[in-house]
Amino acid sequence: MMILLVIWIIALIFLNKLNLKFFKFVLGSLGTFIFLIHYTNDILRENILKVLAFVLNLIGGFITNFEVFPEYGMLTVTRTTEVITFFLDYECTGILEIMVYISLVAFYPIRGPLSKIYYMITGIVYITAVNLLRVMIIVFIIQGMGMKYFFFAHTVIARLIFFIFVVTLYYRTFTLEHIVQQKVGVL
Amino acid sequence: MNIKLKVLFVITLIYLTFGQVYGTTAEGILIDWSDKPYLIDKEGDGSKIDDLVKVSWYPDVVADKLYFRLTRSSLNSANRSWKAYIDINSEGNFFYIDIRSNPNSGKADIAIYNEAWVLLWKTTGYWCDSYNSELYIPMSYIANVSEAGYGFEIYVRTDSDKAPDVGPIIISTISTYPTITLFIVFIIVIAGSLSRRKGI
Repeated sequence: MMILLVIWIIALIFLNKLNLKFFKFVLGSLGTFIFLIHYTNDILRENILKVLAFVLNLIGGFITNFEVFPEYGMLTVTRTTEVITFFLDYECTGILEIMVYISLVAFYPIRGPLSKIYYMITGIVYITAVNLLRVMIIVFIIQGMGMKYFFFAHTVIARLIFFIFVVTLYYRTFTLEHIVQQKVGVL
Repeated sequence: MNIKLKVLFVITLIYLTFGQVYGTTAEGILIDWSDKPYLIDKEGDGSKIDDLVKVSWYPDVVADKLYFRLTRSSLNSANRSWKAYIDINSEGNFFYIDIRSNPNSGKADIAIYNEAWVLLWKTTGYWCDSYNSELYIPMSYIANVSEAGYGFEIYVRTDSDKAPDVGPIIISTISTYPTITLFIVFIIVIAGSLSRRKGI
């Protein structure tokens, strides 16, 4: 992996010297994503899971029949006699969406390094918050309508809301920002 | 101070606060059950031998074990052997777990069968007392836990009782379904990048 990292850096320097910005963006983002997955996946996932569980635990204190097991990344929702346990695994933390976002921001030509760090951190917070909203929507639908609506809540409603919010973030960061910059003549 | 720096500072503080909160311990006959999900079943709705009053569960994906603890009513005979069954619907594949508990010896025999009642796995351990039986089954026998998005419907019963009385216990992941989302955002970003390049 170290050899790949060195080759990737050399390729980026090469593309930079040739002023091939688009290819530098594509290769840079792709490489960042791969190296993030390889080197920081476990740490990032674990910490995002902790934050999710911590906030859900706080929320859980105000909602009846909703219990959070933060150290195990589990939530339990009870309705009459039925019980459902959510297990927050790899795909539940929004880690892939976060890593792709970080990778793209790192190489997308938006303002300076401070702006990039700002966009990265606010993006992580935003995606995590939207993920929390997604989980709570599932919980509320199950509590209000019953276990038989779990599939509907999870795969239709919550999925759609998460999708809309995440796509909005990407649009706001990568498309709208670019349009605004062009209108004010930044580039 | 720049507003962005202020936001960064506050977010960093929050993250550092959350970062050091939890630790894990697991001890007991199989595991420590004090902090695991459970449900309470009505006492007195089963026979004197196998009236279920509490069911606990815990999926440990890393250890590839799905743990259960079944508790029967303490109003009944402490020494009588009893049987319990756990039926699992894992996305259309059915598995049947047979648990035979002998409080006199403290031994619990566990067996997993598939839909055709072919024995897949069995084990024995000193995992029961007068009223409680603990067990685990390898999760990989009932689902592909290396892939995200698995879920089980679990029906716990004895010869005379069910827990819960209506419906299953569901254990499920709640994936964000990243593939489609990332495909769409990839198109958005590439389109944005190309329009920037062309000066659209």
